[in-house]
Amino acid sequence: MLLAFAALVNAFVTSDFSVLNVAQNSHSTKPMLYKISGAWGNHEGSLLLWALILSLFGAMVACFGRNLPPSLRARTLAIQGMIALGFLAFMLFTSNPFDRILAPPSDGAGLNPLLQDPGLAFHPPFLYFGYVGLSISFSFAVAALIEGKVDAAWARWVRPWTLAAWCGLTVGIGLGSWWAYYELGWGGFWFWDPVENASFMPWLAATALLHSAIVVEKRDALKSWTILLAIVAFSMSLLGTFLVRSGVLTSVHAFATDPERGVFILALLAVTVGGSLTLFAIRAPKLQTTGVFQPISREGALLLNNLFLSAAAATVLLGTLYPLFLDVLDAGKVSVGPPFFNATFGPLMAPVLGAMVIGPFLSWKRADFRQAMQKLWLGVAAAVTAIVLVLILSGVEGILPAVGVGAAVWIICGTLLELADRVKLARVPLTESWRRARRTPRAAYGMTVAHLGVGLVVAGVLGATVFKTESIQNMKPGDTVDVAGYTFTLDRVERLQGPNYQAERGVFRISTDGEQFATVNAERRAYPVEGDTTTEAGIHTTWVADLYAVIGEGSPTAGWTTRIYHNPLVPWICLGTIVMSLGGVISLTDRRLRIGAPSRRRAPTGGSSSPAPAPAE
Amino acid sequence: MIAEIGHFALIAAFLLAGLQATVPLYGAHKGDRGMMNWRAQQRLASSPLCCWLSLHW
Repeated sequence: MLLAFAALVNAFVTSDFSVLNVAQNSHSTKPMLYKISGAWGNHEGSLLLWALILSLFGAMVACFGRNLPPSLRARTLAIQGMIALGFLAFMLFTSNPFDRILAPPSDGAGLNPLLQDPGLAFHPPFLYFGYVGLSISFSFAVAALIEGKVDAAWARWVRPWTLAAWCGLTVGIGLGSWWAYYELGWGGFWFWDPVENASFMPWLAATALLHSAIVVEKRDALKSWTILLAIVAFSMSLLGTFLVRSGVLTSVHAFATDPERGVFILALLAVTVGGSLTLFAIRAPKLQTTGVFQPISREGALLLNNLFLSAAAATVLLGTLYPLFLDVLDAGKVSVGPPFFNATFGPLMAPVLGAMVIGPFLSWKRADFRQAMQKLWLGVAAAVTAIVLVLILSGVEGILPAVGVGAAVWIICGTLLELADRVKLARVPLTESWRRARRTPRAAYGMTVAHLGVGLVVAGVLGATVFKTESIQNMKPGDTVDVAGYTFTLDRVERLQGPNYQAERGVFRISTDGEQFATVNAERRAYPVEGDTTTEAGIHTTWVADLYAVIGEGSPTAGWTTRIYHNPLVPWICLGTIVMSLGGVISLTDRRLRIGAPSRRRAPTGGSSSPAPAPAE
Repeated sequence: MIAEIGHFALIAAFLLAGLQATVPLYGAHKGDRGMMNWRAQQRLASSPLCCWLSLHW
């Protein structure tokens, strides 16, 4: 697979227009980065990248899974082989990236200008890393169903793969969102576009899977549910692949409109999902569960988290597929957009945000809710204070924005309090807290960091949606506009020549209280080969807010249409995504989470009899 | 020529995936450890065969 992928990249780098794929998706004047990323910026090449990552994951299971039971490893690798077989057949029979053309053109047709961007160059590899990583969890789940055995060891083997996939998906979705934010010029970061949803659904399912696998590992409960989640998470990855490639969706990064390919991948989806669910229906009742727990317990909190995450994924699925079903049934065209998702998704996530803070304070099996809340009183106080402050100071109507800010403060404070409680900060001498902090497993730090990232993302999403200020006007050089206390002056509009585009660049000076502190360049680019234009927003970030300028069509006599935004807390979305992924990576470095790694036992020193710190989860 | 090498590599990967999907599964069913651990051996053993099959595709 590596050889095949290298051959395709070579064809793009050398602009070998006798290869149909290169002729259709590249151009000799394209910058080198986009020549390379062009290899996966199309249907055939992206499938090849998919299959390459799939084979690399399979090789990793083979290398790192030496301590797996031989039959489980063999079955897992065989399932991986079946998935690879399906995708390679899809490629060879309908989407060969190496098809030649008899009369090569002198130059290529170029790549969609929207895709000629660093964010989109690296977005697919991360996303595929996530999609394909979930195939390992799926293979482990199907292998376990065949074996009829799911135990703590199985959960320990599955978790690192799911976690790695989750990290890849998080980074991939974050990059895509960041790209949409500055490239589409609408000042927003998430549009509930079906293709965006296609990557978000597996992320929600993978998040639920990560948490339910903890219960299997620690308490020998939720086995069938965890297996089902592993199947659903990968099925949603496949569904996303189908939606993007079948032609049923039209989007900036939907690849194909070929029904033959659509039918093939639909068949692949039916065999994979149908086969695994049938196996699940037959074998799942035989999986014995021994762990019992009270509703108020850590398992209960994780189950609540799972139920609402799954319901949220189902809601996104419904909103994404409903218009397609109506279209297929000739029942009219319906658009399901942000109003539906905002009205349904937000309320479903609220209990998850509450449980993710309280859960770590609850003990396994049976817990005292009042005791947990007593430890969290500072978080409750901070959240209530934030709500009151927003209601008094922000001037935004309605209580929901204030509650949202309160939720972000609740998550961040609650997560930090959990870490403080874990090391008994201020309850034991500092040296003892430090010793506990050093002995705390990395998985616990990973959880803390990832939950902090969620808090940052929640704050950023609220800032971007509720507290955003927008101004659209016609401006000539020298004109000024005031937005959220900042004065934007259109200094000049200049023409410039890029490597494969011409651009009009608007230079905006930003000042506050009469003092200039930043300059941003907003561009409108025209790509003559592709016959398309793109917007490059000019953004200055203060890390508390983004000052965002876009220049539209215009002329020196009539002026230019400009859009100016003040987007509070939007940088926190990007920061939060990075922090969440970092949390996952930290957890991955925990020895306990590495596949089957036995815990390293030190020889007793004889002097230490202090209690061990609390477990990570 | 390099594109053809890529194409052949793809066909070789397809054939290997077919074997990968069946041999370990059958080995696990029969309890045959050799077939269960087949992955490492098949890489070496099947490469010449796959190259030959690819060239005759």
